[in-house]
Amino acid sequence: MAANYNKDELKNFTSEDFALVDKDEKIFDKKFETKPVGYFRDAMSRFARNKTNVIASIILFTMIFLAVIVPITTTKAYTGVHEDIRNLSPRWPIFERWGIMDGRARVSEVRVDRTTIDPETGLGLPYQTVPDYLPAELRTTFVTYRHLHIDMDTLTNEVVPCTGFGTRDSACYGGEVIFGFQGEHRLITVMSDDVFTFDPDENPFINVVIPANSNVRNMSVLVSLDGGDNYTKIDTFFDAAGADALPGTYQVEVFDVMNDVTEAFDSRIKVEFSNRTATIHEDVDLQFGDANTPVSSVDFDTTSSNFNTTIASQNVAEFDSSENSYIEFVIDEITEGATVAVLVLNQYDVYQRVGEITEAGTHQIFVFDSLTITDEFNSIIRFALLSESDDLEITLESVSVYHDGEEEPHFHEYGWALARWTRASGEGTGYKSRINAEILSANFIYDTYGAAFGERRRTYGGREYDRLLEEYADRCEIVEHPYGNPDGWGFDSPDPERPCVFTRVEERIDAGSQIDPRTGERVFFYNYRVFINFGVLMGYDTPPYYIFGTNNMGQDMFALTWFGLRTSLMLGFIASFINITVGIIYGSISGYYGGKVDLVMERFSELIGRIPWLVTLSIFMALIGPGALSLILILIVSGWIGVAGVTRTQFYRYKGREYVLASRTLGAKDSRLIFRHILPNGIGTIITASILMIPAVIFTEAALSYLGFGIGHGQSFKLFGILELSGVSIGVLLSDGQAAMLNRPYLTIFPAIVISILMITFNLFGNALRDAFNPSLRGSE
Amino acid sequence: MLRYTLIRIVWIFIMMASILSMNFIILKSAPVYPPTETDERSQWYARQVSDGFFTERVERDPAVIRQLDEGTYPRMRNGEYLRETFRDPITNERRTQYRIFEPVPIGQQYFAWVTNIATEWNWGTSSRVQPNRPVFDILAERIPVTVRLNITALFFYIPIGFALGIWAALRKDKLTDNVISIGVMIFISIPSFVVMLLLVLTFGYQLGWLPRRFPPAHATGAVRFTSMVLPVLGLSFNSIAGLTRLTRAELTEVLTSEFLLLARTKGLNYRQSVIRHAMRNSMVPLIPSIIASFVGLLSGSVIIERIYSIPGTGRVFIDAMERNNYDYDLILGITAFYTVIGLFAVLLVDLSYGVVDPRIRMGARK
Repeated sequence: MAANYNKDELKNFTSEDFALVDKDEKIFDKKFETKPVGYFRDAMSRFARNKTNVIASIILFTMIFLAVIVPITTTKAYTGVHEDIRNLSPRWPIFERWGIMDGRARVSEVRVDRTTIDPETGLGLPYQTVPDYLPAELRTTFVTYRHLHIDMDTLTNEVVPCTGFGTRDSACYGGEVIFGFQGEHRLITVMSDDVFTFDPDENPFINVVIPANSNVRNMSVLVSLDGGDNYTKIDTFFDAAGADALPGTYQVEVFDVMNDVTEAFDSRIKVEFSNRTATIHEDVDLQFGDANTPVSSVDFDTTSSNFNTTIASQNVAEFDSSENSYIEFVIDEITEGATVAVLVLNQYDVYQRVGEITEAGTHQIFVFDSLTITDEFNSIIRFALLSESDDLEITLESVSVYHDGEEEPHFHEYGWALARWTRASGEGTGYKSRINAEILSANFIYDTYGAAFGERRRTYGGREYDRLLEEYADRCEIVEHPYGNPDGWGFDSPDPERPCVFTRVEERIDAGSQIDPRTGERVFFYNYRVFINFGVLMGYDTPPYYIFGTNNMGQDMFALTWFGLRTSLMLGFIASFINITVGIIYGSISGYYGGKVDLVMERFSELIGRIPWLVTLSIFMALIGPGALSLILILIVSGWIGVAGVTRTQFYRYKGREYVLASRTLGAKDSRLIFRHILPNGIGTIITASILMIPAVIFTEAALSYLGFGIGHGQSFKLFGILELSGVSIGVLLSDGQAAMLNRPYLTIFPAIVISILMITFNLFGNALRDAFNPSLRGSE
Repeated sequence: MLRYTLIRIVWIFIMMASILSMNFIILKSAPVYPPTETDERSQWYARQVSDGFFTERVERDPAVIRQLDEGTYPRMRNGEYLRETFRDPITNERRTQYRIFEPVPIGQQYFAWVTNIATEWNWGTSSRVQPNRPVFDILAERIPVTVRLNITALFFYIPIGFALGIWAALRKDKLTDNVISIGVMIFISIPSFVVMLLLVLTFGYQLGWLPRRFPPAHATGAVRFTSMVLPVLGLSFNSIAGLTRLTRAELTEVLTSEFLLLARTKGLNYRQSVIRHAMRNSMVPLIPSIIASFVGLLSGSVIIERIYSIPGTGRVFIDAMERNNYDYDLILGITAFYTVIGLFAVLLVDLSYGVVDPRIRMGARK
């Protein structure tokens, strides 16, 4: 101010120029001209200043309102199964005029019913009914399409990879099959190279000599009675004492052990050794003997003494020695060091090795090079996977049998047929997967509402027909012979807004007659083949709008989403309430008493807080199992720690204040100081700082339910006897939607958008609330 | 500092031991789920016996044996009778016997578990996911997949987060800053699995630009690369938003500090002052937060792995946790992996505060 005057002017002021204003007026009792601003009003005005936050809060509360109101007021079903309105696309009132959200679905990669392929265009249509060949587990989720409601202009066919269930689906063609094996040598099989004749008259026996340094614990001797690969255990030696060794010589008198077998048979000798716990490398001596050859040492297959499994075809191939038949294996990949031994059934009914393959490529195996058969025979083709290693894998493209010189194979298995080859013998864990298989699929635009609410052909009995006609009498006028069909008639409605339940009757079918015993008159029965207006039958004059569509159970996704949101919110509120309560109590004690108590409690909460959520999850799953209870427990097990921290800080801030000291001097107890003096002062800060826990809890709930560890469909829970929770939450809906991401993306999109908006607005609201109540924390996150 | 470090390390080990012990004791007290196939089951029990979790004996009580033969004997809660026909090598008689496997008291099991890990690095045997396969073998197969994914995400999100944060801070309260802040607010709020679902839905299914699921291990070339795009994006969005917000906050604070004014007064131009003084100082608190974020990334990848069928540790954890199909040894192994990484990251964060910023003296008395 002084700068406005120059020095000369200042010199001219005298003390008379200064006078006290309102010297005689008493102002200490004067009322404020404006009203005092209270704590909440002040906070509200700060809150309202930020328009973004206000908008976010309005959206948030609208969503909460909808979550409460929609499930109660909706006229559409969101529980139960409603077959007829399954998988409807979203349809919105005004948007449908612009061709979006019009209830038409872009459907792609739906398998083609090959019987419907049009010879002119070459295009096939999807299945109208569930095909018979589908495995049972796929039948329930298979979606069928009414051809009438497919937009034929948009129909295209393409060949796409067959994913998911390639090995189990015969409609997929082509591709390769991987046969894999993994394990350890805990079970070793030794098999003789030669086929022996076991004759009861000669009382044959088998000797197994296990060296002294072995760690074999269990040993079984097997023979094949039918001569095939179907070996039966005839004797088992087991070390019952529990020591990890079974050395010695063991003699098995074959017909003594199998006293019900009286005929001679041919078989190889097979011996299995196992230890179950340790890898074994066995060096045994196998002997065969009978009255003629007391003991002769048997050469056994050294390769097969390692890891070994046999895979067999389902179909039988024909071999002819005069044609010099050969088997062709097309192998794409094979584990290095592994051997594929190809086996066929010889004249002794034993599978004999006819060739070995060690590398990828096309291999021709001339079976008669190693067989002594001179005529035709039929055999299943087997191959054994042999390797020294613990893991082996073979990628097989096809197996065929040719007669030499012929172009076309007469046995050719690839794709689905090859995928059906199964393990005939072997041990360890195996797996089979079909890769690169393909399927012919259709893409088109489908009118889901037309299919659900449009015309459907039905046959009604006369009584039902009459009943319906009577029920809809005011809107059905019979029109004779439309479409030039002399057997039928049509219906018209006086009010085009309220159509008749039938569109036309195609034909009236005689269903016999009977004499009415009371009147003695002959009564005629008819069946009617009609086209019904399915929407009208369901009570809709015009098709309804499902703005989020319906799911595969025909439930309205709009109501279901809000219903799920309600569950999510309720779980969020309940868990947050418990967390805040526990946190406040814990933090109060820790902060108020301080010192050693505080130190111990801090360490404890740090320990709890550091437990990874996977550990918490596994513990509660094992103890309680999935469900609402374990979900809430998981949410609260470490959720209170943040609140406890804030509370503790508040207590440290206020516990030394004079008013607390004063109260303490007057003899107040600890509980009074905590709950009447300190806590009320800090509670605002604590609550506003904890409000962000609600979205965090909702997020965790959604994630856990999505993973299947939370709640699930069909469950319902009573909490504290009053609150009823459904098994549907946003996480559950997202989990459902993942199965149909391609053709029904709306099942994922709408719940995802709803939870995203909820999270964004909740965070904005929480931050705004905190800023409004604790301006000092503004901007900190 | 040394004292503080030692105390922290000891404390971390105490926490680790108590978390893992608690997990072990609770899980092992729950009903067991042995493999379903008979052969695998007997093998699994034998393995449990040799690992010291079960005892094995032969049932001698004729009354019990009769009940077992008739199938009227009640099912044991946590043990099992296995029937075996064998031939006694000494007396040469054929016999049927029942071997009984019973769990030893939980304390002994715990001792055996610790001993097995300490002496043989034996983490137990899988019972349901891959029956009878050693847990550590399964983990050794899965860990590289998860770690590769997370490291990629880390290297993807750090530069982007920094760049956006710096950009926003330098253009504070301008359009750029506002746009970035809105983006940050949105992506920090939306759960990462929802982002991932929407990404897969859009780019995998609807547009078909990227693979819909993680390809099998033998896929090569372009597929291997493109299949990483979606999971890395799904993992990164949240972290990018977090890092951007943090960088922006730190840098804004430093930009208004007095030493920066001094630097300008000294004659440095804006660029020099920002790069040499502001950035270097604002980075200090970010380094611990990046270490901590790696743990968040790792545990967040469990759900991403499930969505995208990535054969990593998270996926195998979900498999092992399948309802009434629990594979406890595997769960213990995986949770141990996550616990150890999480706690060491905490330790690293604690120590790094002192290292990156000498002004912070850890453990200094108040």
